[in-house]
Amino acid sequence: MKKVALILRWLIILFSLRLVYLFGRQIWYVIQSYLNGTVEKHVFFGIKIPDDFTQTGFLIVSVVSCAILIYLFFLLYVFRKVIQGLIKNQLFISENAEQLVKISKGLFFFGVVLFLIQFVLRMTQSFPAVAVNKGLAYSASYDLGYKIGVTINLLLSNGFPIFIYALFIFIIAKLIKEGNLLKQENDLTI
Amino acid sequence: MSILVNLDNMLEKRNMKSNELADIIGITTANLSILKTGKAKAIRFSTLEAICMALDCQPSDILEYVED
Repeated sequence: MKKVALILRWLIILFSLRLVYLFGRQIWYVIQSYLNGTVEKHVFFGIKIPDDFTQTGFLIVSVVSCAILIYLFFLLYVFRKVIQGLIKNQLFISENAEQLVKISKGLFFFGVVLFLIQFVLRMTQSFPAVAVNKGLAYSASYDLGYKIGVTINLLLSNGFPIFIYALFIFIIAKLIKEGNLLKQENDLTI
Repeated sequence: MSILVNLDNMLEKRNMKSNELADIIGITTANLSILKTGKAKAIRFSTLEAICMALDCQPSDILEYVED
């Protein structure tokens, strides 16, 4: 258990460094967009920026990205506390359960925000069908169908795994809470 | 808690000290204190048996049910 906890601690450090790098890169993109007027094609986690995106829009997305990165950093800090408990062989304690619930809620929130960013960015993109057949593209039924399709695709491809992780961590948190009760009962059995 | 532990009364009746009882039944004084103060979640039959043997009493002399 201790070895696994130590490995996890190193992974957290590496992931934190990755977050710092992504944060720095995003800031650099914003500075560059103001100096050169260029808009980068990607922001964090592979979110694609449309070609015709404005500089203001890019700035808004960048600010949201940076805020999410800071939030992820905070979640890593919370997870680090759980790992520190693991190193001391303290798994079934109420603090761990609370922190894991916090992480699962945070991941759920992260998934929702990621999904919303992707959704808004895709919706602002011009649809390829518009260029081919304007009559068809402008029909309300096609537009609605396309948007629903895009939404389901986004939900399944991007947000869905994060929601599964969040649910999984939430279940682990509940297990630790139950384990804590059993441990307390066991410790206080004379 | 609705189960009261009347260990103090029995100890007084038998003129015995807590650490003596702890030594006889083979538990730590800290655990006996947990039992006496009602913080214990459960008691093993073996512990109860040892206490009854040491104090020459019945389980009902030590444990009492009171409504909340």
